[in-house]
Amino acid sequence: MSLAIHNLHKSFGQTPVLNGIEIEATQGEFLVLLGASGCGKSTLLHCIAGLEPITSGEIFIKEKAVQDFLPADRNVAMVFQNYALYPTMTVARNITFGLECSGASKAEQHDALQRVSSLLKIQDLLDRKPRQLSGGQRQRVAIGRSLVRNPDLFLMDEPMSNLDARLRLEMRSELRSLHATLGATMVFVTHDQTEAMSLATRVAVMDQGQIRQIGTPYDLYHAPNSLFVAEFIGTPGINLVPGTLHLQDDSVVFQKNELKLKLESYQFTSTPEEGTATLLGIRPESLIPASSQPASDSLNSLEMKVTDVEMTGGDLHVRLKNNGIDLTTRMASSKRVRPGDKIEIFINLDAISLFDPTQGTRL
Amino acid sequence: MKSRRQYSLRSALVHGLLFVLALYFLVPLYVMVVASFKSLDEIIHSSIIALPIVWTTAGWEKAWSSACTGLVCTGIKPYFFETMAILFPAMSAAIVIGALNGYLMSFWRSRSADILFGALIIGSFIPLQLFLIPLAVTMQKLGIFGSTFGLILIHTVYGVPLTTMLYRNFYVSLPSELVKAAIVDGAGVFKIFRSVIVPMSAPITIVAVILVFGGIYNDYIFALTFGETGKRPIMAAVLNIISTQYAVAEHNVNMAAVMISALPTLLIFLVAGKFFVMGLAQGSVKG
Repeated sequence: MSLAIHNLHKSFGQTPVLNGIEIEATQGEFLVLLGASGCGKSTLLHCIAGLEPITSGEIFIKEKAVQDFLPADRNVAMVFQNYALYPTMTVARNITFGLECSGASKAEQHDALQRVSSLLKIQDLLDRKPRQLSGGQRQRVAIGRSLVRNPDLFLMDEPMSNLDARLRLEMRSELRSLHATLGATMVFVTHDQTEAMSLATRVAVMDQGQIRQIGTPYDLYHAPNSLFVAEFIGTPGINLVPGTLHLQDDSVVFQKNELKLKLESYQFTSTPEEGTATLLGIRPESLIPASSQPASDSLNSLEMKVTDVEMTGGDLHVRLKNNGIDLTTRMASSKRVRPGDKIEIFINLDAISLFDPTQGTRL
Repeated sequence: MKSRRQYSLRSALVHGLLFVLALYFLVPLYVMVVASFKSLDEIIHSSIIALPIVWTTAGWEKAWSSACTGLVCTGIKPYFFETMAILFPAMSAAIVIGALNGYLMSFWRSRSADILFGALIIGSFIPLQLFLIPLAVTMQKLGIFGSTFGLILIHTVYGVPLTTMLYRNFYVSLPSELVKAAIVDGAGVFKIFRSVIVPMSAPITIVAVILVFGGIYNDYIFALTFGETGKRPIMAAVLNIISTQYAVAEHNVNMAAVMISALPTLLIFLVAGKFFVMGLAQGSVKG
């Protein structure tokens, strides 16, 4: 286990900010802490780094309890949102400063600098000062500074939020390949769910100082364990249809007005009772227009009226209405759809979620 | 056309006012400069604003090395060097201590640091005349009353609140991530100060040097109260030269003495004035 956190609590004065955090990450994991601002994700990262004292709990890095260690003794490296490069030092000294502090010889520092700068292709920048660098170059140097000491754990606090959109995409793929090359364990904080999904091996969704769900991006998207996670992940958001569950001939049927869906493949956490109120969650992709219907039995159809069409480039976000049911689906933008059109929609029942409307838990 | 005429009327008023103000400050200076280069005879017999007929540096030479205060006729030279002997150690100490204070208070915050900072600010607003008698008693007890070291100590102590305030406000505007990054890099409190913080402190140090230099150099009340007789700092001495009562008042020597004692602060402002404004702006707006 590269990183393990047990029952971690943290309060600022009387205000609790982290409530019983549990995390386990194996070697080589890319764990992303995802949440809205103020959910405690940055505080958690600072606690792991040792920059914030914790109130109670345990933190293990490489099986070693480090909660009472100084940051320098935890063998972690951190990349900050504003990079925090030392403005009066050259790029080279910025990168080797950590080695200098740990008493490495000039030769060791030189070798490490060569290794890191060729890996990140920043050899030409070594004599410059941070203010002479572009945003992307600063980002690279900040990553270089974190690489140089071969840390057990990389901590990254929203490192891409200061980059423009195109550069962010570039750095994302570079970071992915860097992670693959190094096989290092990384903990990455972001509020951007696309970034989280595209980088992570596992994502921890945080809210009000708690981890709501921790799992692969696939699991979070297709099998969210709560209404909160289901609504938090995905653009356009998940469709939620309130209805009731009925038991018919050994199978469960979801009913809302005339819509009846026979749920044969759904994995219930426990068998529901007759008449249970529920929220049916359907991802936009699981609503398939009739013309592109694949041959499958698990498709159930519904005729709906188009109320709004939003063009986003490659995709259309199409809002549909029928008899008290509002749905949004995603279609290729080559489709000719106009508000007022009537279309037949099939629901792919292999990728739905059912939630308890009051508790917000998955059924 | 109309707006243009309005503008030129307004700017004419502004420039006129500025011109009058400039005259107000510059005419006395002009009178001093011309008087210091005249002989005493010429001063008495010529108009106060006339240029010297014969330029002479005799007044300056006498003021520097042979003018009398009381019965001692050494000019202001020894007093000038006495001031420097106090100024440089006290200024360096006040700046080093202030920078360290400011660093510790802004990056290693604690409740006690905030209380201490509040106390420092309140302390620096109390008129220093209130401290004179307690200070005199304390220094007498310590046996440093009337010594150079005593004045160095007083000026250091009196300069620290100002420098602490300057450095603290400057450091608070720097991103705290810099220090956090250095902590993760394994640097200790003083290593961070030396390697990361001090190299960034040039702008505010220029501000501190100018303010502390001016404060100590121009000090009169401490110099008069705690200076050793015959070895007082320059501001106390120059007044003695000017106010010497016997014989004729040597206006040229007096003017030269005043000019000599005013020059160092003037020079500092001329040399560092631009950086001073930059440092102030950087400190208050953004790091």
